[in-house]
Amino acid sequence: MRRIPRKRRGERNRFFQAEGVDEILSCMLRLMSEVSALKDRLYIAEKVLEQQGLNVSSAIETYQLSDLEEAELGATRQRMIETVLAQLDTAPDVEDLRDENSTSGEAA
Amino acid sequence: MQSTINHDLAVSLNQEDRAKRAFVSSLRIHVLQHMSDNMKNRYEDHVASEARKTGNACETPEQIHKALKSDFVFKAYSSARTCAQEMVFDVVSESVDRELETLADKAAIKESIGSLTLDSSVSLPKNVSEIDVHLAPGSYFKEYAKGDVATGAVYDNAIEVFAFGQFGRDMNDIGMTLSNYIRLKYPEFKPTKILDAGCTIGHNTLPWAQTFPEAVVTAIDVAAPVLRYGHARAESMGVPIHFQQMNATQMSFEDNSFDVVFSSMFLHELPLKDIRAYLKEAFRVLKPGGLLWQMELPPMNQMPAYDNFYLNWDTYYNNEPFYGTFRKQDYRELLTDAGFADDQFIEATMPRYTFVGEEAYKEAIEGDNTFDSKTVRMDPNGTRWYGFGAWKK
Repeated sequence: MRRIPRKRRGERNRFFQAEGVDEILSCMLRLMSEVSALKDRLYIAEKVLEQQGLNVSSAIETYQLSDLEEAELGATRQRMIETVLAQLDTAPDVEDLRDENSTSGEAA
Repeated sequence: MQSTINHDLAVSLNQEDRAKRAFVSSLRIHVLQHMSDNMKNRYEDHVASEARKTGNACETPEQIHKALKSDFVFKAYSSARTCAQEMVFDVVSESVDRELETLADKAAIKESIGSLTLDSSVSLPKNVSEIDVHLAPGSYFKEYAKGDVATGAVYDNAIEVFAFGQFGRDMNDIGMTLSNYIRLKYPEFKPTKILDAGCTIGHNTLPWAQTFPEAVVTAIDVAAPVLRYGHARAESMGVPIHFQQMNATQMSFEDNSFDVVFSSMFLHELPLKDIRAYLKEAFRVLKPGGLLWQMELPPMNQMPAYDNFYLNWDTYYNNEPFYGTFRKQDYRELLTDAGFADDQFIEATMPRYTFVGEEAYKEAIEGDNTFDSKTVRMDPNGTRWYGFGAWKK
């Protein structure tokens, strides 16, 4: 099957060198865990309903959200983004990191 | 997220497509509002004063960029924004891929109220062929099969996700705002021939035919796939538009052909020599008494330094290499160099017509132009579009 290319020409801009890698990775993992948990839960919910004689998969595909439901989902989604990306709002405190390193050094 | 694309070429979406598109739109809202505000606060509260302490000025956009570049909050904003931009094309391409084999058939028009004229001798200028503009893989000109329209579909769907509703119904608010400005501001002006240059899929062309129903509206672009898609889209929406494959810097129209030459978000995609060539061509094809009217990014000389830095992020990081040079120009001078009289220059900032409604819009355009952080920024709380142009004597 033909596919539209996903990779653009040229090099990708990089913004972080060492700094921030941990925060980004943390965001990514938290996001993955949220998405994975939601997918697992939905999968299980469909299986449970199937066992009860309710095949909901096709009904889910065709379900039309009302405006109110769209708004509720939108608010939930926005909250999740704010929570997952919260660490990107604040610069890491360099002094604190130094203190932590020196403390662990002394302990060792 | 329910798609607002409401014509025969709309691709089918499943629940996962909808959920992913909604997520990317929400992510962009977070980046462009929350993270953007956070970056500005960080700059004002910390970065600017630190830079000054070390003897570095923060008076120009370039100096602000330099001062912020090493700051964590700037990196986080830029990295997240880049990722969100890439995700726009990822989520859209999934659904277009599934219809890649059938889209061209959907676009085949039997009886046309407008027209489509393709010209295979039109070559793509380097600013189109050599750059994946907006980080869009393959940009907006690739053909994947004979008679292909997939690139048009990607563009149509991508701007919906990208703009999270801020371009209005049918993504036509820029065209609606700019055309209604002319209708309301100059009620005696009755254009009968209108040209949209660099139209892509014609989403901002259609409003001109709707605002001035007596006019014949022509739209040109260099890329065949977006023109095919735009033609089929316009036909499906019942709006007669005449699409032609043509380079705006070398138009084949006769002198004095049009009452209005319009473009939207077009000039900033061109190298300066092509901007000048296009404006000269626009002057040539305009009738005496006709109007050149361009929706664009605001010029740097009208905006505060921080906002200039903020708007210019795209030129540094979003594959918009000509954008910064364009914004540095004196727009009035560009037009006088192209042949327009200095005293015929007009410019305006306008609230979004389809968002505020006719009465509020009419009142707003009687006031003074406002240039601020909401000028040509996608902000649900009050974006204003910017237009400039000139009458041909």
